[in-house]
Amino acid sequence: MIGSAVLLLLIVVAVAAPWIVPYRFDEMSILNRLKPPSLRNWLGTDEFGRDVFSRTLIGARLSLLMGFAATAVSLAIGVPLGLWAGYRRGRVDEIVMRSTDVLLSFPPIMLGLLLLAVTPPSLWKMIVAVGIVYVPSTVRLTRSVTLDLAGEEFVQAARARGERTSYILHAEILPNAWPPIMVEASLRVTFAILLGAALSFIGLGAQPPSSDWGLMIAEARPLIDRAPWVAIAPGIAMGITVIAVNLLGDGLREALDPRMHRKGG
Amino acid sequence: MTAPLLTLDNLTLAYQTGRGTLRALNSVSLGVGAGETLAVVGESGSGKSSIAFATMGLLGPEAAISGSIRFDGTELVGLDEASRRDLRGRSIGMVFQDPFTSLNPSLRVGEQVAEPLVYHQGLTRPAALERAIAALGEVGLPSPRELASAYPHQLSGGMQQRVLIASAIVCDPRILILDEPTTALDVTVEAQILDLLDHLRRSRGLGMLFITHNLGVVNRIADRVCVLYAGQVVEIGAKEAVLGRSSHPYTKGLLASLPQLSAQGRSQRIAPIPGRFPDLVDPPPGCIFAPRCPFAEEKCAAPQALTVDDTGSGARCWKSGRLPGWPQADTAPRVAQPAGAGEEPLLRAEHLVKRYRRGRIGGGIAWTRKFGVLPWPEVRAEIVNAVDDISIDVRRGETLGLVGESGSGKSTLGRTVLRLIDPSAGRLLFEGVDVAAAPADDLQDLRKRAQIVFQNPDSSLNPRRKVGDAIARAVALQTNVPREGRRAHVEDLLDRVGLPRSYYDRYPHQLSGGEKQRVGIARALATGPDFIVCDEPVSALDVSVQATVLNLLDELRDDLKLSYLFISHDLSVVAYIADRIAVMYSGRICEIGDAKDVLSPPYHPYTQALLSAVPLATPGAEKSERIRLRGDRPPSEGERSGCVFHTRCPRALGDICATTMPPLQEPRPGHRIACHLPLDELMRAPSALPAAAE
Amino acid sequence: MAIYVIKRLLGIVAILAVMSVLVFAITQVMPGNVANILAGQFADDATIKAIEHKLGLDAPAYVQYWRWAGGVLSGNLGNSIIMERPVGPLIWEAFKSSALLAILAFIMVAVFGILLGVIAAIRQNRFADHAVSLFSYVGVSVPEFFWAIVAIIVFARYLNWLPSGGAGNISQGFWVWASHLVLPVLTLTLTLIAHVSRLTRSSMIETLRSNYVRNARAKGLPEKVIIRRHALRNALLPTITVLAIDVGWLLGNIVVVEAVFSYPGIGRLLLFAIERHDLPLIQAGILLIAAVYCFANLIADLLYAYFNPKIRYGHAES
Repeated sequence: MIGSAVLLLLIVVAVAAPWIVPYRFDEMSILNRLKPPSLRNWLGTDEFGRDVFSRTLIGARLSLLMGFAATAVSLAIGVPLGLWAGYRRGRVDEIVMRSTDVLLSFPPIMLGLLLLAVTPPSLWKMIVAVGIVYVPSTVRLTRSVTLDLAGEEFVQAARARGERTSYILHAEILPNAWPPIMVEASLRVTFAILLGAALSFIGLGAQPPSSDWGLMIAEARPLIDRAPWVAIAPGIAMGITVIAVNLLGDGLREALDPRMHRKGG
Repeated sequence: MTAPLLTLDNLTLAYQTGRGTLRALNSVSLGVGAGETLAVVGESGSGKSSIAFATMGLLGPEAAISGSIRFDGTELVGLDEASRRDLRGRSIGMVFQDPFTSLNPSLRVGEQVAEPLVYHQGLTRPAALERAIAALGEVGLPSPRELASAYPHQLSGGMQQRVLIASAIVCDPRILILDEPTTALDVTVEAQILDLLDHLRRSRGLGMLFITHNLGVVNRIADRVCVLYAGQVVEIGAKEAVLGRSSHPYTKGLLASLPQLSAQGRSQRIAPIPGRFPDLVDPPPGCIFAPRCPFAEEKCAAPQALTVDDTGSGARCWKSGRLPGWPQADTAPRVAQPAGAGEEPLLRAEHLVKRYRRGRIGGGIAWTRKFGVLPWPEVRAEIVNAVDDISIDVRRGETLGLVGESGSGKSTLGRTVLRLIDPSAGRLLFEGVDVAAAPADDLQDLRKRAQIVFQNPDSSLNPRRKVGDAIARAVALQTNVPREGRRAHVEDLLDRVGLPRSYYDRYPHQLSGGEKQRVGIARALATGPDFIVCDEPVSALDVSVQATVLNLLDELRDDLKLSYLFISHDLSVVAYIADRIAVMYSGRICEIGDAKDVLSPPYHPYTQALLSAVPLATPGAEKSERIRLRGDRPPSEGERSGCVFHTRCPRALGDICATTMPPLQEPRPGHRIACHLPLDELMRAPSALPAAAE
Repeated sequence: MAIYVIKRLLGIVAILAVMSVLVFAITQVMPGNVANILAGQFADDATIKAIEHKLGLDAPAYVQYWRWAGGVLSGNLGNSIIMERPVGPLIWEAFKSSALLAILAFIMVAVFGILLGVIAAIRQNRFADHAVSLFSYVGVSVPEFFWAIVAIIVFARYLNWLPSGGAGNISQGFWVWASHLVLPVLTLTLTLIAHVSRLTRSSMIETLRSNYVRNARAKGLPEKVIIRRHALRNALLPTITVLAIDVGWLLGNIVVVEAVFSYPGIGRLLLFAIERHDLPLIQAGILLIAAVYCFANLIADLLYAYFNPKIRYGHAES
């Protein structure tokens, strides 16, 4: 509950950010470089005199977009593949599973690196790259849930009355497969936020003067002796965001876990 | 009667729920003496397992217990945890229902049996292991020394249950509590386990508290019976009295709900208990059974007392002893089925085969050569012959009962004839058209005219879909009822299966098991089928609910001229509903014929063993001669040559059974037995059933 | 079992082969020509052509792949284009440094993750459980590079206890050597421990609810024995798989952590190579990391099979 409230607040802030921030995120001020937090600049300023508070708020847009869009990409590719492999079995299944084996043999960040190294970095490429990184695990989960559901008697009943495969997949199996997929996806949002930040941090994601949190921390790194606030503000913001999504995921898990229901009844 | 070892006195068990206090047990009093078996019998929700858990002290902190549980003079309610733990396993042993999950998968069997000795009697591990091996021998396991070093998954269900029993008795407890110990097992294995328990009780003078839902098992094992309903003891007394001359209406109703295992009792419908199980948070104010009782009158609105006489018998009913028999069912009498001989069967399976490959990880890898030279590893797959060359007919308007134990392939056969599973070989004729290999798009006629009702009420309905919508979908797909008329049509169907029309808008979780099963039947009827496969449709239901569903299926068949392939592991149910019976073992049919022919000699030896293993609730039936099978495993792949039953057959002739396929013998037209024994030898078997009970 | 191992090894070889093609293909379409970089901004076409020819970059892609793959198989990973040194020794040195970091962090994660998870499960819904879960939440929610920076600010800059980066040499004395490892290992541990402890907790709770634990209670065994003999053994089986997944994360996080601490490991080398488009170095680095991950998974599967009697002993039906 706390998780969804905080997350909702974050989303509102992220959407409204351009209108509520006191300064433009790329507004420089040579006279105000590396100022500590004050009433004028709540979280201080960075080496170009940009307002850290404004940049952090705007950064929420990028971070949340990163997390949700990349997860959406992984769901959009992974769920249909997993449903198809799990329901059709046989050769289709074999090919899909072996492909995920290969992709899963890369540690996540390596795959991201490799995909991003190909072309000049941009936000959208990063979203797609991070989304693709999580396709194999989405496929695997969807497939195993589908395998279980395909054996359920209501699916057999649908086959017995002559339903088409496409109907069985979207009307009988998918609605029941969503809960575990959503719980897993909520976790993946946090992974995606963190992975996106890490890629930006090492220079393969968002590019200056963008106010991505990972990039902000990277830019602040040489200055940590003189102006630690420049690095700490985005770090804490990211922590709060990820904790909120995590809490939401745990809430989802508890709400959707059938065992919890039975205990309550 | 000896002084009871274990006494429950006014035991009440309450839980706090969101809606109020739920009384799982309400003033339960009973006693178990040394060497005596008290059976606690009840349907689901009666609280029977709670008695076991309360006695063992295994309930969580959320359970509020009041009243008294005394063991050998010690009060257990409120006793500190250390002392309770000391009693558990040492003085009171317990055997749980599900042997498959009750043994630790990563500990050797011997260690699991031995460990209570280490902690209760301070034995060293080797000494404890020696005692454990002796105990494994005592519970009838072959070569216990080798078995002690096996892991649970290497044993069959029956063997696992024996191991659990051994670990419960290894410290020489004085009381053994058994919670549905045979429910998860096949009937032939159940019979073996019941024999074992009876033997242990006699040889060790054990007192047993035996919890079960099965009145037949009660009759086999108990000295005294306690009938539990909605957390209350409604009747208690000697077995002969409770089962033979029951005095509480509920007991009478339970007994009347049981289908009789006899070919003669078929002309009558069974008489179920009407109504629904009470809500334990808000129970009826007076007699808890009054809302469902056919004998209820004004005086029943007051709470009833359990009056126990000096023989220890009593019932919680002011009218007990003055009641007539349970009323007959008021539904239409059963009609005799027209003999459909000569006519073309509705469904005919010819030499139907379904083989599965089951891959195995670790160890099971064979090297083959690819392209003649390249060494190539291959996972050695196990071939499972789920359906092994089966030919059956289902005629119009008849019910073919298919009976077999778990793993016999009966469900696979049921799904294969509907093409829910594609057969590996053979022909499948529906009204003369071969559909065995037809492409999926050409099956629409079969899909409309052949339907299925499933076993599990919880999995047979999509939990995210309204009951009515699930049925309406079948109407939309397979009939030409116009869109506007569909809702009314579905409501008619709900009506037809005895559900209120308002159930259209309910979700499955709002329904009871029996109601869900009715929805499943309505859904099957929605396409307007001629043929329905009933795959264990009543196995997951309580006895009283089972009776109403059986009656419904029976009525529907007569009214709508349906044909059923009725699959069940329960021979009594099949005997009640089927016109003809096929007996299946390990993928093959060993006997098939008219119900009355199959249920009387000559028998296939397996049919004979099955019949004699079924526990009957009629007092006296438990004393009849019983046939025991060897072992409890189906044949392995290498043992499938010849007769598949030869590894367990008590009447096997020798090599011929293991090597040659048995011939089909036909004592009467349409009654076929696959056995090497000559017919007159088979004929000589005594009837496995007691004379038809009135 | 031996046959199973061989089969899995063949599988790994196949995966690495597929992966080498993939890596090669991707590095081929990478923008930014090495020849351009080497020649400098103002070189003419002829110079670039000459450099391309010298490096063999003018041959068709499949020829280049064949040359490269052949080299890899014969132990020759090629020359780093930028550093103009053989890739093999370069990568090997970096790999040794990274392996040290990874192994230390992995041991910490395994030991403390399991310990915390078990404690949380046994003390379910009590103070210890909540404390562990708060710790996990915070650990898992903040990116590793931020922890690294915080650690540098606190321990290196403010307290001045530990060096802020680089690697020590054992010849400078044990403490100098070890002090360079503390912060990177701590950072890596902090971000991964939550994953292990949370999964251990839920697996342990599930096991404590199982029928066989109930049965052990009915036998009157002391709770300590139930936890040690009955619950722990089964609860830790899924943890093995989780630890294997964590090796993948660890390999990823190590790239970032090495970058922050300027630790001369394979991660930093790889980032350097990607920035400079040093193809042979990128290819070798990624292939090596993938191979390590594959072997970690193999070992996890073998351990799982070893500790799970259902796999070790198969079924007794036949």
